Amino acid sequence: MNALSLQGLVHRYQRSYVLRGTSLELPSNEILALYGSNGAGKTTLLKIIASSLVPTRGKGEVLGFDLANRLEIRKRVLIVSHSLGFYPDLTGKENLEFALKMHGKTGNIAAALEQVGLATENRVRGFSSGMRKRLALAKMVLLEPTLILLDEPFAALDPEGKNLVENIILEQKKRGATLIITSHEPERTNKIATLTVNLEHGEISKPIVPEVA
Amino acid sequence: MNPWHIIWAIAVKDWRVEGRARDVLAATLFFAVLVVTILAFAFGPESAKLREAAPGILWVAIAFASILAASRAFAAESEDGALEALLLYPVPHELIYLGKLLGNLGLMLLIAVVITPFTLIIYGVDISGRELPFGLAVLLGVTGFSIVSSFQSALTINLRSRESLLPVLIFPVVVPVIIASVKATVGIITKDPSIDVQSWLQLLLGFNLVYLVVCTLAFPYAVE
Repeated sequence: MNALSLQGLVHRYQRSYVLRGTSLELPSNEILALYGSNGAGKTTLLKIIASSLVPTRGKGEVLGFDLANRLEIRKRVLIVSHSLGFYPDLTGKENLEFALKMHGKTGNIAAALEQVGLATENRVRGFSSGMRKRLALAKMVLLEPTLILLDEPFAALDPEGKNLVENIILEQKKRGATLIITSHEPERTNKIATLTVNLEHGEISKPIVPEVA
Repeated sequence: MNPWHIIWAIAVKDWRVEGRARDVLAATLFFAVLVVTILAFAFGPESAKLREAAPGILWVAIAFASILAASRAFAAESEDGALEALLLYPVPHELIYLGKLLGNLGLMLLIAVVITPFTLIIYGVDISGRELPFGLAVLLGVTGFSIVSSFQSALTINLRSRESLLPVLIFPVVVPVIIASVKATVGIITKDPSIDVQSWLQLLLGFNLVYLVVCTLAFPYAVE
């Protein structure tokens, strides 16, 4: 089954078109690297897949559910974008507890935090951007989504953090998840991606197997 | 998933955030106490005059406190894309509204618990023997304010001029709640037989139920 099947997605923001008839078929359990320059429409595409945005035109299915079936999509898809959506006045643990409750799930929060190297009881307000990203990874590990959308996961991370992201992505694939990663670091991303596409001026290329240097 | 667990989790999260930041409680309580105190000075030392003015002043303080609290109701969600994350959880958005409402109502009731006795003491109002209907009037009035202001706060969350827009949006809608609350409390305090307290309380309950249904059903459309 395809994890993703999008046909002719058009998205207009005010007067400009961000996506111009984007179509994409993605089989399950792949790691798709989505490349494109700034403003190409990568984040918009991810937000449409995550059901955070409604496309102006076009149709599609995410994990077999029509794009309009938002509740079912939201149960299975997790997006980690630039805004990570944590509450600054809560601790990392409390933020994860809240996320689990909202998904009606339980999980070992301490183990997830340990896995990402975040053994702290401090509030998120005091976290660096790298620490917040690690917390987002812990959320991903805990929620075990079927489709994971990572918007520039390597940005704002030190080399150790980047290796951690790589390992967790590979672990999630091993678990059976499908991942879409936007990145400006093709050398690193191509090492873990099984397919790549380019999105430029709202138009997307066909998925190809990446060339690894 | 049990809907009550979702509603409770959102409310508890809001109370926890407020317990740490304390920006709503501190600002709102200070403002409400200031309104009650300044108006007490304005009405002078005549005790009959003060007693007569007390219900109106109490609701002025609660109304303005409610606006202040409403402007901060979604403050926790305005940072770091938390609203988008909250809306992306796989729960019906109606439950998110009810959770936010419960969170806001908890804070407003806490403010009312402080400001109501303070007003009664400052204005020399004795409600002995009528505590229950008086408490009910305050509870229903505060709930009405909270239902409307939580909804309007969500509606304006992404607007730059939300602080100035909120009162303009809230007050016209909440007028029936203000009238019914003031009338009920005046009736309870003055024991005026021409004021049918029970009818006003029933009307207040009716308004609250209508507003609750309308706001809950409209919330998903307002935030999507």
